[in-house]
Amino acid sequence: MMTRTYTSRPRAGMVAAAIAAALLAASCAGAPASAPETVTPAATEAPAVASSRPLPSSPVSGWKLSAEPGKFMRANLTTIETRTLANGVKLIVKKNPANRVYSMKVAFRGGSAMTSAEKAGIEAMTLAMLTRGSSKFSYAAIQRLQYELSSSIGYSASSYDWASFDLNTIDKYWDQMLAVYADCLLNPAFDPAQFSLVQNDFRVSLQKAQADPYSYAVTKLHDSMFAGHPYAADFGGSAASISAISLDDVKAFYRDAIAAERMVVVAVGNFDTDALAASLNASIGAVPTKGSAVPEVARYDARRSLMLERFDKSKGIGYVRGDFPIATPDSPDFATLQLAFSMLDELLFSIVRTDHGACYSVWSRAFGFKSPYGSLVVYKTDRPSEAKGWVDEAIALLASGKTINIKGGDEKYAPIASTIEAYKAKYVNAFFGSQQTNAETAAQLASSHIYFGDHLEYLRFIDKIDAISAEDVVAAVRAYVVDAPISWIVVGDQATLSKVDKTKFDAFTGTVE
Amino acid sequence: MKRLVAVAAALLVAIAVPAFSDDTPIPGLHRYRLDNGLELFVLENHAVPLTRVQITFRCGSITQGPETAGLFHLYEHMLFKGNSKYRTETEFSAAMTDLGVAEWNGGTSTEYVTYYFTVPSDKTEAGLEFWSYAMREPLFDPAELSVEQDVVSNEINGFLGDPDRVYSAAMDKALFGAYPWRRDIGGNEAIIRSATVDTLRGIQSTYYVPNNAALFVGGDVDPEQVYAMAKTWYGAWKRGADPWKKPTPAHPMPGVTEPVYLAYPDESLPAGIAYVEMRFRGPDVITEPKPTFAADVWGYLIQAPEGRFKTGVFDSVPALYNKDYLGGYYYTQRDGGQLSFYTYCFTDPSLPIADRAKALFRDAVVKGQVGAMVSDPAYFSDADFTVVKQKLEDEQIINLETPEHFIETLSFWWSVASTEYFFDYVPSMKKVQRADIGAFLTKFVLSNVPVIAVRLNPSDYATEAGALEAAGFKTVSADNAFWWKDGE
Repeated sequence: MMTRTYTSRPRAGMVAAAIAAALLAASCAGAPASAPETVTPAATEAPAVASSRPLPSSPVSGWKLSAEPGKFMRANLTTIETRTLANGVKLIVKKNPANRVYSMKVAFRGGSAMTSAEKAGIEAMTLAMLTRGSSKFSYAAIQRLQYELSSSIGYSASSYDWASFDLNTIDKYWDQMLAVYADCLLNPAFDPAQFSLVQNDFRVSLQKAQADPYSYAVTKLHDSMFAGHPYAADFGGSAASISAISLDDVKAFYRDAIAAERMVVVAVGNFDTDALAASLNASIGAVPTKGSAVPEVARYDARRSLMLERFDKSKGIGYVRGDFPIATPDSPDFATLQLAFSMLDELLFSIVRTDHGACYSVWSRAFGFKSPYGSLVVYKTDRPSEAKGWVDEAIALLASGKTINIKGGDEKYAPIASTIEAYKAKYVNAFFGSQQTNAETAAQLASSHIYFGDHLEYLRFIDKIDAISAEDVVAAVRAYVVDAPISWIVVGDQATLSKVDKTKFDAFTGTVE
Repeated sequence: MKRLVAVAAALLVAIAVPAFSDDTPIPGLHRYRLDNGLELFVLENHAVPLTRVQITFRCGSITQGPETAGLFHLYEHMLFKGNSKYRTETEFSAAMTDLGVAEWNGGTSTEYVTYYFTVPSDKTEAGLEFWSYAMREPLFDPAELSVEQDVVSNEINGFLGDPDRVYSAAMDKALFGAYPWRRDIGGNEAIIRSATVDTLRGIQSTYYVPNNAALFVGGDVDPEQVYAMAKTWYGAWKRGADPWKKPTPAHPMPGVTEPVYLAYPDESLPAGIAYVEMRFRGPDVITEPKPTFAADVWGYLIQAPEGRFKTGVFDSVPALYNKDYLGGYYYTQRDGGQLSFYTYCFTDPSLPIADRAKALFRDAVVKGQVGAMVSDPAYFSDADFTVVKQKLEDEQIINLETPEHFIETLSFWWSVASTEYFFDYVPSMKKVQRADIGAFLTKFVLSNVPVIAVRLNPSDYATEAGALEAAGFKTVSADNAFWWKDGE
């Protein structure tokens, strides 16, 4: 509560966030899955309709990467080295002498697919327990060291596909903090009293999220959308799963799943790679392999549907979101869609908010999970049905080859070919902005390794964006967004929901030229 | 944690090597002032080919009356709605895209309104030019105003059901009861819809003048070149009258004459866990700067995870949740400084929350720990002070990772205090003695009167409602939390 600020647009930074989402496959809303007791569900759901058309069997984008890496990749290649630890775990080191911060991430592949919906959140709870005391360091000692040495040991569980155990410190404290971090990872105390506190922390976090109508919308949507799919086990857990998970469950998960075959280690800072590898061999390099298979994740079963969910506190204001399947991150179409959504955001904003004043914000995103999906969001609207129609209008414009005319003049819209370079520049700048800290860069490297099997993949991002043509954008939007099998949800109070015209959500209402 | 970031950035002063800059003791930071009074700060950081541009005005809810609450926020929105060069919001947004602007926004707070964007560093001048039209020559087209009134109404009406907003409004109304609209950034829909172009022009001529603004530029830039650019694009901006020449009356001190007790049935908390806060009116930084330095050193000292403060309070009050979520802080403001103590606790009908908040927590903090801080010279050891100094240096290193952190920090301090306050911050912190902390706590805690609030799940509230009411707790709801609903 230290500072309260009202902003012009929650979407600012949306491009950067979208990039983070796409490259890191981060969560869209940190959406835990439980309904607050005081919210009357009173949900209605229109009959689901199977996908009207299949996704393309091959990429519709025609762009090809140049054989020669671009400037950004060339400049960074020399700063990145790899080693293999004694247990076969890959160590990726990016040397950054520009500051004195040292960041390390031990990333674990698997995510939601490693557990069931009944045990959703167990990986996050397990990683949280690693910070709560080890054989050599009590929780109190760890807290004191973090305070006195301005360091942090924590975890990140914000993706359906992976999670990480993290250390951030300063060069002068590295040896001291690495010893603590490694002991936490290798020899967690699993103190029952600390487990109780961790469990409560998760409950508090989930309850807070569910008191927010937008988070509530995402949760309800994904509960429905991912039913029967591995992503039904949300990484943040649900009220039921968090309560059901026991310390023995956490110990068992640690015993079975905190395994070398799921791990990759990333370090960013002014490291000496050989010295770092040597020091890690004695600790993280000792984590054994356990035969812990990482399941493959299939696409979720997409279907067109509409859910209406009551949230009585949201008086007169609705929250609209629609998710739909898109290309996988390794497809050329995924990069195309990322750029396309950047263009679409401008159209959405101009039509839904600027022209009609129908919402506080509106945006689109591409989430590059193993089961990827796109999202369309109208945030805080008093006209949900009309807003959906205007969203379709924006999509249709883009699918017709038009963007906002950014060069001025009487015409509001202009051919993509005349604006695409500016959108590329904007997107690339957001990319730079998303990796300014060592921790952000470490996340990029880990994500690249996990999704592409190549930690250098993120260095190709700019080259990919540069290669995309206007025709690629149109083709991708038509193939994945126009008339997509979108699972919609509208959350609001009864008065807002009663005004929703369900027919507006039955089909795509835009006209593509 | 604005305070912590601010402290860390301000420490630059203490350990700076002045040779890095001709203008300031902060490495890489250059300071200029244009003839029209516009202050310019330029921070060099060549890590990525980007430039962060931020412009900040000293205004916000601090300058509001009951008839204008929320209008500075509306004004902030309207600056994106067209100006003399980019006539519509669509043109404005399109131009930003053409510049390659990836991140941008505006924000209205209690004591400042700020706008920022990030542009490729080779387009720094184009970015400064682009922004100058919005700052100097907004159109305020009536049709655009009407649309934006819809947008802002959607935004602020969405907050009416937000538990944190409801709680914050109730606390502000209680602690700043004389002028609650000066703490209310959003206002309400009726006021928003009452705004006219003339209203906005009045705000513009009074507050959106260069001598009430500061321009911050950080990143891959050359300071002298930026100075020249600023003169080109902002030099002709006409100076206005000093909007702060005639000060408004301060919020009363203490904020309340008798303790006020509030209970908020809050769905954002799970059953079984409650939140307790005790908030005092604190020093205003412009009129009482000295205690603010003591307050900030004190704020660091009581953060120690196993320190005497946390341990003492935790051990004194039954069924508290966790020492990690128990603490206190001072929030710097020029018009509404505040001091807060907080904790989470478990609910238990045999340990009524009313008793624990009203008596046990208050006594443990005020009579117990704060009393000891004042009376016992050994309460904070020399080693404790050494750790704080070390932390300040460490956080400077951490905050040097990106220019955004530094600019945000500097903008905050420029707004709520002054550049000189910021530059003198760490030297002043280093001069703080135990007696200064004692004096600060004596005046602002021991001799002060608090607002004490509990937030608890509605099911827990139902169990304890009778006891809370009997203990004098007033129930907070969305219907009575906002000052402007009192007359409805």
